[in-house]
Amino acid sequence: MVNVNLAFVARNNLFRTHGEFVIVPIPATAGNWTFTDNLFDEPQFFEITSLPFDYDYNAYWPLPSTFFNGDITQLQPTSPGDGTTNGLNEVVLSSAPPYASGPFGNYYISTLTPLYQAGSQTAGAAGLAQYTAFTNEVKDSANLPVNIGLHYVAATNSFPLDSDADGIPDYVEDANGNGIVDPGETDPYNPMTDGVNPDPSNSVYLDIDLSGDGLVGRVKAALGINPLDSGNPLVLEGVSGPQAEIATFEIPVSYNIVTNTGIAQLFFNGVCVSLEDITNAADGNTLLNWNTTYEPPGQHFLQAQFTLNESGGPTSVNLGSGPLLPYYSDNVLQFFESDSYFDTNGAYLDAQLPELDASYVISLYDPSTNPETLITAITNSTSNGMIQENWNGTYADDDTPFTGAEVDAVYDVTLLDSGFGQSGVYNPAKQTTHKRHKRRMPQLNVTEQGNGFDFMYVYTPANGNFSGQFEDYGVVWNGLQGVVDLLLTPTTNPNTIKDNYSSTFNNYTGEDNNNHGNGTSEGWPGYLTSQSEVTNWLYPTMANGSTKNFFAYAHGSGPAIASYDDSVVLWAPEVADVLTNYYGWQIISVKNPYRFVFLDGCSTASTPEWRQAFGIFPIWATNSAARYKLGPQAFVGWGKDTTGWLNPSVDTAETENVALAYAEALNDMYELWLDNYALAICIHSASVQQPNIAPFPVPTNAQFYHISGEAGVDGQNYDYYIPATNIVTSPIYVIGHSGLTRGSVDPNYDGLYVSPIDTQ
Amino acid sequence: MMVFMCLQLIRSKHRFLSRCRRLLEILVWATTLAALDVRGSEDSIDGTRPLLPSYDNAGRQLPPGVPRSVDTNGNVVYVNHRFTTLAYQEEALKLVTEEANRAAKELALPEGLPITESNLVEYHISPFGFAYAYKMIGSITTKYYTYGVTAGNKFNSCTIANYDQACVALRRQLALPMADLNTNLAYELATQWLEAVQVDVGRLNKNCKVEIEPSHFWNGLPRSAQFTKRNFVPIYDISWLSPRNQTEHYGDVAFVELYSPTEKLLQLSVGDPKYILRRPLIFTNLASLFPGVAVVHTNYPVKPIWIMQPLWR
Repeated sequence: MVNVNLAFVARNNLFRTHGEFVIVPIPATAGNWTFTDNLFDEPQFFEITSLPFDYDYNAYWPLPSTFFNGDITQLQPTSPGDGTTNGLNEVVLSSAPPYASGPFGNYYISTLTPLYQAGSQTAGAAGLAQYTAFTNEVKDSANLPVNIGLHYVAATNSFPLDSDADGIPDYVEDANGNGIVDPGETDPYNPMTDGVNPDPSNSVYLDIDLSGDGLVGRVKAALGINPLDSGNPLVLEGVSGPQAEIATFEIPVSYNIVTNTGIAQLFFNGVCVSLEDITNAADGNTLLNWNTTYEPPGQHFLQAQFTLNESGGPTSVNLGSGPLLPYYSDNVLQFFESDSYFDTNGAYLDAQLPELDASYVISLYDPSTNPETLITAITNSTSNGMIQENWNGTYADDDTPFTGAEVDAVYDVTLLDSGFGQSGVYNPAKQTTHKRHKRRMPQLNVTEQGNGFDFMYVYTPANGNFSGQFEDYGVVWNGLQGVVDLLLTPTTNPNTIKDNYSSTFNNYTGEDNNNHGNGTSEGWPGYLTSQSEVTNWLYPTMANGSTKNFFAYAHGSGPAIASYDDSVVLWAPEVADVLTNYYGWQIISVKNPYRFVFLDGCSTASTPEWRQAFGIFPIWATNSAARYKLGPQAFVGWGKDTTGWLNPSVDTAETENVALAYAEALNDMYELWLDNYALAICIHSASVQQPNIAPFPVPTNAQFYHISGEAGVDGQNYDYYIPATNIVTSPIYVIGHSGLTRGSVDPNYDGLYVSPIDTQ
Repeated sequence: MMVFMCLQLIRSKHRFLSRCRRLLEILVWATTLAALDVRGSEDSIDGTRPLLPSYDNAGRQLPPGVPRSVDTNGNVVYVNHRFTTLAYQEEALKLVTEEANRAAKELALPEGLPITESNLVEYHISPFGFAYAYKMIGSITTKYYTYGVTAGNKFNSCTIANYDQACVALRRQLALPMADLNTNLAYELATQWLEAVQVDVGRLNKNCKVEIEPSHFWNGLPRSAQFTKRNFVPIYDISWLSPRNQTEHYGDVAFVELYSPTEKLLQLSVGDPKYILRRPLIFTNLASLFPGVAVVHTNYPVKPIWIMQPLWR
């Protein structure tokens, strides 16, 4: 049962009921239920007339009297008091509607009837100026009363009518159907509305897919494709053969175009794969190289996706996908990212098998010699489907340490009760299968430990009206400075160093040596307004080796976070470079793993790119056999787009209150964090509606309004935020440990807010 | 004609039943609409219980120097979470440090006693407004352990300092054959520590299910995986799970993690203060920490202001 409080309007419908038509118009704060301009074909109404309800200009072809027994055959006036007069202009047909089939359905009208131009408003006002009710395909006149009943898109030769032959149907050009060329529309009768560009290239179609191939105008423009071309080029063509360990796919798009204008990614069962690289094919096209050994074997589906560098604003569509490609992997094992390197103590040599029983030999080679030199080998068997072996970092004598930079671990696995043959087809005869897989492992001596915490935000509203609130001493600045103070301000004893966290990027209020603000002690909450600030101020401190915690508030996408106008952009691949966290299809080299990152921006957890950039490993792979060399980590991000509470388009006391209240939500979340509560509890508590808190826009907060207390001193109002209206919400995800605490991990809180990209 | 009459009868009966059912649905809707709590459920996200402010001020009278909002009955409904004074922060630190000394002694931890402010590595004292709402005063960290007073104003947690590095080192140090698994020892150590800091273990055992197993994470296993390995890292997790925790498969009432070969306490926490028998920390001089008389707002919700989504993209 849900609490529905919606306006309900039904107009220009055909209701062919031949039975009961029950109307229970639940009162709604948005207004009375309304029925106008509908055709009821042989209805029997059951209506609760004590509830508020509006209707007029409907038509009826009544049920023959022999088929009803005292039922009412028209809508009935409701009790006085709902503020309207009903049913003064209803039409009762004396003959059956002359239905006829047309290109889009079977209920066109073949001749003029009393339905003609008998509606309550003009066809333009009804949004039906590009539609017809008749088999002759004549559109309703925008300025005359709309025809009662069902309408179809006006067509010619069974295709939507394109009066100016510019390739865009009239009903698309006049998107709101009012018969007027409004801003954001093109003229159905002029193929070059702006006098410069053919309509398909008009900027109003940048976020529209005119050809139905899944790619919007701005993506096609970047790829150099005609907006009306329905040939989606993001088609994966296998190059290396379907069973390759390193699979290569070509997409017939120029490598230079792809890499200069955006990023191409490979999706595996709808989730971006971790280990993929992009290279230039001999013919100039784009090659996606993918190490299949980090994904589970079996039947899967792959898809290419292209994401533009330039965002075009928070509501623009910046990516496009190609068709699905079925893919079968006959690998006999799966590797994991979290044990993908060795250190002076050696390595975990873990892998997951598709079956319980197997014997294996793991040979470690030094790839710096040609041919590779054997370092040592481990022979063993398993009966639980997991390979978990330790290498102590020495040669076969168990004494001489291996000092090389990289190791190739070659797994020779024999499945003892195998169901897989080399053809990749399951064989119930239980053949024995042998296969060899190789992984390259770098030597790294890294830690996720460090007391550094960088905190940043950028300007996110759609216009400049709220800029004063983001700048010095505005409500957003002050609110987020409060969170920075919470995280960074040292103790009351100035003689000892006892910060919660430290930062060479931010400044707490009162801190000396403030390099970024306007004074020496005003604090610096990390408000970035230019790319040079990112490069000169943020990146050096992020990469200093002790910064292991990070927060950002920005617009977001899979691979980027940015200000509204893109004057500040952080790209995941660029951050990965800055942090030297490299994910290649041959090797993972995470040299600067972070412990706790929260990217508070749309879709930041929709792909693995951000958590990879910060060197945060997933832990929830099904039946993962992987062991860590690091301690626990967590990446927090949003799965989809959300309404940001710091993004208002107007500056009012109300929007300032909400912005401040969101800063309070962040403040409370980090207070709980500093009190050593598990991350899942911190997130959960900040997601609950409570006084003076604008909670995280998670799905349970899809409806939300603000009850303001009486005017009072700042922060002392009794403000309450509770459900009411449409909010864009998203799941919030934790990649890694939701049981992570400031000082440890509580495993009983792990496994909450699990992201789909964490479960491959 | 007979057939037609029968059909009509059937139709009439069907209509009657159908209408009864719909009227019943309407009644249910109306009842539900009336009963709906517009704040929504507090436990609707993933089933875990959020921590929320509690302004139940029975026995927790605020001194006049604390600004607050009260409802029309005079009950405190909000104190700015960031409100505090330097005097309060210092007094809270003093009390938490004293309590940490008591706890370290009771737990017989390898700690440099007495713990003083000068040998703290780090501490966090929540502002008074937050502490009052959540009954969390804060925590201190020495070179050896972090001590928390973060549930019901009581000492409730203790975690080894530099936990991650300590456990990474322990994991590397030793793996025992599964035959050496000793959950009895782990349970015995855990309950000894809990009892030492006056946790009501009897009540915990009565109300909760106890789970004892080697740490999945530090043994490289997913949380739900079975232990089928030949060797294990002897870091044990001992959890007391309420019926709710068991149903939801998340959360715990009390949790102890230890390294058995050296009987080292890695972390101990009790989330529900009702199982902690020790006294909460009490500020005997609260009024002096908040001098003067602050503004008291007698506010209450007035008509809602609708936030239109397009303003917020």
